[in-house]
Order: sequence, then structure tokens, then C-alpha cells
Amino acid sequence: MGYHLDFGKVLQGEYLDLILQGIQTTMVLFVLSWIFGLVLAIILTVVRAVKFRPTQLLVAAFVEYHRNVPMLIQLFVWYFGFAVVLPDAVNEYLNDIGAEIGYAIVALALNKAAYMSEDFRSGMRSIHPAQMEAARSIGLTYLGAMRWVILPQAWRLALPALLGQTLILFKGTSLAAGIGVAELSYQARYIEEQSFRIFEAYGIATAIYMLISFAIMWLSAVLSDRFRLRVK
Amino acid sequence: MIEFQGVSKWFGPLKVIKEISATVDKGTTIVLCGPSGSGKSTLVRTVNRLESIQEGTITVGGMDINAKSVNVNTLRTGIGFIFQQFNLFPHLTVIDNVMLPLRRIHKQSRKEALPAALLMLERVGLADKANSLPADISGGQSQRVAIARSLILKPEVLILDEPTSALDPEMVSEVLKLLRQLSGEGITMMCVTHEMGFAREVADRIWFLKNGALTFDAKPELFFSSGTHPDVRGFLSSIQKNH
Amino acid sequence: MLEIIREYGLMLLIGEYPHGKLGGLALTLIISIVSLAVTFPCAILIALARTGQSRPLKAIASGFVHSVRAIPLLMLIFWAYFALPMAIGFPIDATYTLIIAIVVYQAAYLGEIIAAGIQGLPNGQVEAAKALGLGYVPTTFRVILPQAIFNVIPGIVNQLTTIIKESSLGSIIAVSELSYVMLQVNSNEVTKPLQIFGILAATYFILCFALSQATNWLERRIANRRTGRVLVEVIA
Repeated sequence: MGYHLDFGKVLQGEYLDLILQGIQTTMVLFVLSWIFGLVLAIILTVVRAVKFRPTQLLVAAFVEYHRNVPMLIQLFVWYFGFAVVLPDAVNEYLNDIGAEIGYAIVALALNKAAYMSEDFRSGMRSIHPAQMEAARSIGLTYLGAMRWVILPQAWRLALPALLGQTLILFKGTSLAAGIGVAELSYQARYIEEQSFRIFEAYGIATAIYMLISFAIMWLSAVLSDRFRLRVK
Repeated sequence: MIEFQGVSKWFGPLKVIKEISATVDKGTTIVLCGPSGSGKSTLVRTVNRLESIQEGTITVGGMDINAKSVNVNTLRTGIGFIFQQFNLFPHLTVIDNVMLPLRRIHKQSRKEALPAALLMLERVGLADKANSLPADISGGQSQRVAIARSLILKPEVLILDEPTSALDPEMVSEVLKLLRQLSGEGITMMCVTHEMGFAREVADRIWFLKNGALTFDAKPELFFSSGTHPDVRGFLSSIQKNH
Repeated sequence: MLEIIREYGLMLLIGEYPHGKLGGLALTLIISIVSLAVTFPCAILIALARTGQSRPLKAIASGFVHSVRAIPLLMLIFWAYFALPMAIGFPIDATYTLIIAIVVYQAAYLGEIIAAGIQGLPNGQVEAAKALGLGYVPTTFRVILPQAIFNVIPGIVNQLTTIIKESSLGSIIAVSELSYVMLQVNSNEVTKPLQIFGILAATYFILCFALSQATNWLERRIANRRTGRVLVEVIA
């Protein structure tokens, strides 16, 4: 075989720049979708907790859509589908400023919000109803019991699942390549096409993904352990 | 102190409390017993409004607890309630469990609440467990912490719903010992329990419930005598067989 | 919307077949089921290594699981599609490279599910088997695995849902499964993306929602069976 690995070829000049830009875009996608997703998840959880049938059904439909349609298709719906409902002028403007990344952040955040709100909900449900009863028996109001007894347990119970979603989101940012967002895997593909250095291009991208994933996994293990709720 | 007047309660079509009228005098200890499903737990749960009633009135300290003007949270701060399953809050340490009512209801700072909470823990003999988590202490210790937590706001009434039923046999006595001590200190107590030795020794009156009705209300001497109610006799011999 | 279904419905279901290769929903289902079928034995091996006594095997399995979990599926697909043919020296059909990538990826996840099933069994099961004088192989294959796998059937069905969704990544390497077909339709009919991707999303939704309902139903049944609640229901 005439193939010699040479990482130097890819880790220099223009290619190195592209990789660094890719990492940056990946991190922007990851961090912004995570924040928006978490905030929306909390809102959804609260809305669903209010006993009003129509809004509860709406949230349930939102969650089921995002859980049962592939992430990539959710990106397509936003990227291809949403553009047609906007006026042409807006589209042109969006394309100029790089609309793909905006669509990607919206799609990823909505998807994560659906999953995270389910995690919160199952965290709440795994608290024994007697905890609420005991809190009320002490004389706490409903909101007081929620604030001081139920929610502090709920987020601890949901934490491992939320951290799992965080890792899935990080890896999921790669799908934004499917709508042309120049994140890390998109850049790897581009460099491979330009340089024909298949193993180097994918090797470096894979190594970077692994490095950040391992960091997330390590942090998840530390946090899960630190905030674990032990119930007899 | 506590008065039931013609109290009835239904779960759907099922009448689970049947026209109960009785009085608990201030500073006395009442033990409630009876076969399972007799309504004794439901009855004590009506006193702090964990269960609603459909007929009759319940007054605590002369106040109709179901009156519109009564704030249920204020009512509950005056009535300590102990559950079979302790229901300590697992995310809080022992001392934080005991301080919670002071901090979140009386809005005291941690610093203000700490001395009283420590004193209360000492009283139940668990000052050394202050910084343990509920998962790390025994069932008997958990129940004593729960009692400390319920007493921290100095309620006049303490209600206990089978406080020793979830405990291993060797831990029952430490909880009963504490209850005996409390009963001597003038708090008004209503205790659902099958510990007949405890009832004989500590109760001022024993209430026997069957099918939701209060069938017998007597002093321990009469309750355990040969002149007792025939249903009580049957009940006593059945629980002796199980012990 | 109806127009699009009338015109492209058959394509959505079977792609260019019979004039060209089988594609569309049919290919999505074939890819998913084949992937799960191939993943299954691999996952069992990983689960056995993860829960077994051999330290080196444990370390290898754990290293594999953690590494795969750290890599996006898309990266594995790129490796399988672009690098693998280079490495072995002859081309592979894109459909196979997609299946290979999914199998590697899912082996790690399904392996963990089955391992959890094994660890969830009461200790007494192994002890009872040992007490009967059974060796490792019969204990594993006659006592442990049948129970562990039965208990994680909902998890396995759930992974099938995940695989169906993941197979949509085939569209990025031109595997003519459901998503790719609809991307083609979209480039023919440039003015109706919302309808086209709406239909695509709805197709996945119906399929995956039905499967996840089935998962929930299985979960309840199996939980009931484990706790013996079925018996109570029958008596009551």
C-alpha cells in the first residue's frame, strides 16, 4: 500500500484554520442549543404541570414529534421548510448572514427541550407522593413544598439523564453538516475532498470529538456523583 | 382540645368514617386501634386536613378546622404529624430536615434556627447524627428525626399514624421510649398503633374502631379487662396470635 | 399535499423499484432490521465481557463502549463510507457501509442495555445455577441470558426505533432510503419543501410512535410479569 499517514499535511495552514473554525462552530452550536434547550425544557415542564388539558396536550404533541422524528429530518424541516414561509427578502438576508447555523440551533434546541422536559417530568414522578404530603403536613404551602422539597429532589433525580442528553446533543451537532453548517465534521469532509488525506482528516476530527466527549463524560460522572440523591 | 362531632367521610360511594363523635382532652394521649381498614388512619388524617370530611365538625382548641377562615398551613404548623414511613427529605441532612420548618415557615436564617434544632435533636438523642443524610441512619433513628422535625414548631398536638409499623422489632422500643417521654410532657397525642403494651402503659383512653365506626372508647383498665367490648376481645386475641 | 402523495407515494414506499434499486421506506426498514439483527449477537458478546470475570475482556469491552459513545454516528459513517474501502482495497456498497456504521455504534448501546439486564437479575439466579452444578456456558446461555434478554425486550424494541431514526443519516452518503428519496423529490419539486418534509416527518413519526407505544406496552407487561401482578389481576 502506498498510503503513508501524514498528519502534518492536514494540521497546517488553511486546513488547520478550517479545523479550528469547525471546532468553534461545533461549540457554538452545542452551547447555544444547550442553553436554549434547557430554558425551554423548564418552561415546558411547568406548563405541563399546570392541570389545563389543551396546553398539556400541546406540550405532549411537541415532545412526541421531537422524539419520534429523526433529528436530521427536524433540521430539514427548519432549513428547507421554514424558508418558504418567509418573504424572499428575509431569506436573502438570512442567507447572507449564514442562516443555516440559526436553523440548526433552533432545531437542536427544540429537540433537546423535548427530551429534557421528559427527564424533568420523570424526575418529578419518581419522587414518592408522601414527600409532598409530609411537606404539607409541616405547614408548607404548595409552592413552598415545591420550592424546598420537591424541586430540589427532582433536579437531582433528573441530573444523570440531563447529562446524558448533553452528550447526545454534543454529538448531534454533527448533523448540522447535513444542512451545510460548516462545523467540525463538515470541515473534515471538506478537507478530505480537497487533500485526499482521508485517514488524517477523519482521524483528527474523530479525535477532537472524542476528547470533548470524554470531558463531558468525566464531568457528568463527577456531577452525578456529587448530587446523587440517595433514597432508602 | 380536639373534638369530633358527627364526623363522616366517604371515598366515592364507600363510607369510611361513620358519624364519629368523641373528645380528646388537652394533654392526654389517645391510642387508636382496630383491624386494618377500620378507618383509624383516615380519622387521624382528617385532623390536619390531609383528608377532608363530608359531614360533622372537627374542632382543635375550640376552632372549627374546616371553617373557611382557617388557613390550612397555619393549622398544620400547630399539629405535628408522624407517618409510618418517616418521610424525611432525602436531599437534606438530619439537622436540615429539623431546621426546615423554622427556616421556610418562620423564615429564620440558618444561624437563628441552628440552636433550637440542635436542642431538639439532643432531646431525641441524635445530636451526633446532625450531619448525616437520611439514607445513612437506621429506621428507628429516622423516625426520631421525623418526631424532632414535627416538634420544632412547638405544636400543641402530635398525631402519629402507625409510627413503629415500618420498623424492625429491635428499633420499636427506642421510638416508643421517646413517645412515652413526650406523653409525660403534656402534649396532646393521638397515636394509631398495634403496640398494645404501649397503649396499656401510656394511653389515657383507647379508641377501638371497626368498619369506620368508633365502637369502643375506654380507659386502658377497662379496655384490657374481661369486661371489655366483645369486638375488642376478638381483636386482641388476633393480634396476640400474630405477635 | 395529496398531489405529492399521489405522485410520489410509491417512490416514498419503495424508491425506484422495480426500475432501479429498492429504496424508500422499504429500504429504511430493511436497513434497520438487518442492523438490529447483526448488532444483537455483538451486543451480547459485549454484555458478557462487561459483566464477566475476565479483567482484560472487561477492559476491552469498556474501552470499546466508551470510545464509540464518544463519537458521533456521522463520523463512523464517514469512516465506513470513505475510509473503509480505502483500507481494505475494494469498494463497498453505500448501504452496507451504513449498516456497518450503525452496527458498530449500536453494539455499544445495545451491549449496555443487555449488560444492565444481566446485572439486574437477582444474585440467587447464578448461585442457584452453580448449586445445581451447571458450568459457565450452560449457566450463561440457559439461565442468565434468557431471563436478562426477556427483561430488556422493551429496551431492544426501543433501540429499533432509534436505529430507524439513525438510518436517515444514509441520505448524507446517498443511500436511497426514505430520507434520501424525499430529498430527491424536494429537488424535483422545489416549491413545496414544507409539504415534502412534512410527509417525510409524518412517515417517520407514524412508524416510530407506533413502535414506542409498543415499547411502553411491553414494558408494562414485562414489569407486571416480573412482579407477579398479572396473577393478581387474573384473580381480581
